[in-house]
Amino acid sequence: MNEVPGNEAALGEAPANQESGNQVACDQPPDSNTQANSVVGERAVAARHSLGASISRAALALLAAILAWLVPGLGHLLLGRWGRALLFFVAVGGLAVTGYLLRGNVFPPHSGDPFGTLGFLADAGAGVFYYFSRFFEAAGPDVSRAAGDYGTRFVAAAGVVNVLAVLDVIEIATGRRS
Amino acid sequence: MICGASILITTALRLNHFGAMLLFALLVSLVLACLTQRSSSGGVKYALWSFALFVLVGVGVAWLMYPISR
Repeated sequence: MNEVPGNEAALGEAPANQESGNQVACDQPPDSNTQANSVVGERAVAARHSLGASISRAALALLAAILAWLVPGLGHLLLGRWGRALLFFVAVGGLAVTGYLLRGNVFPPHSGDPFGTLGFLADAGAGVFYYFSRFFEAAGPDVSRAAGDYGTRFVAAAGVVNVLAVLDVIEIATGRRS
Repeated sequence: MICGASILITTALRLNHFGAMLLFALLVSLVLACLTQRSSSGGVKYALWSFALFVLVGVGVAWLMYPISR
């Protein structure tokens, strides 16, 4: 079993390598410490650069997310995604404005009701379109008709779609999505 | 002026229930296709499939609810 040539070679060569390795270590020139220090320094600089890049990427993601929430599509526009920016603006704007025109219910911030709070969170996801409701829906909501109830769903869907767009912006800005 | 424009748009839009459902299905399908698919051909297929499912399920649920609507 021990007559395998490969094993012999491996066993025979190992001490020689160790010896030569020790010899090399002992025979290192005096400026090897300087080289090692420079390598460590380069690594530190590279780490600092990568930290800076990740911080700037995180800042870009945060800025793009805020812009994407405020104005649907603006975050994608900042990242150079024109097609997505247009699509999200049209989709969120179309859903929100149609909901207002159907006289859907727009939930206020302080409703005092858990479902009302959830409705507000969904509606507020539409960003600036949430504040357009007072212009488009001057007569107030009318959920006594089925169309008004549909409008409530349209407005909530607009906010949820924009939240998905914000998440997409964050993934693109952080490089998790190509 | 904005209120006047909204009244004009509302009058011009005149969405019935089916039209509202079609518009909702179209916009949401486009967004879902854009978010989930990477290639444009895959996105178009996904959007069409999602739109068809939205409409079919909507009409199906409407027929199921018809007996209890009155």
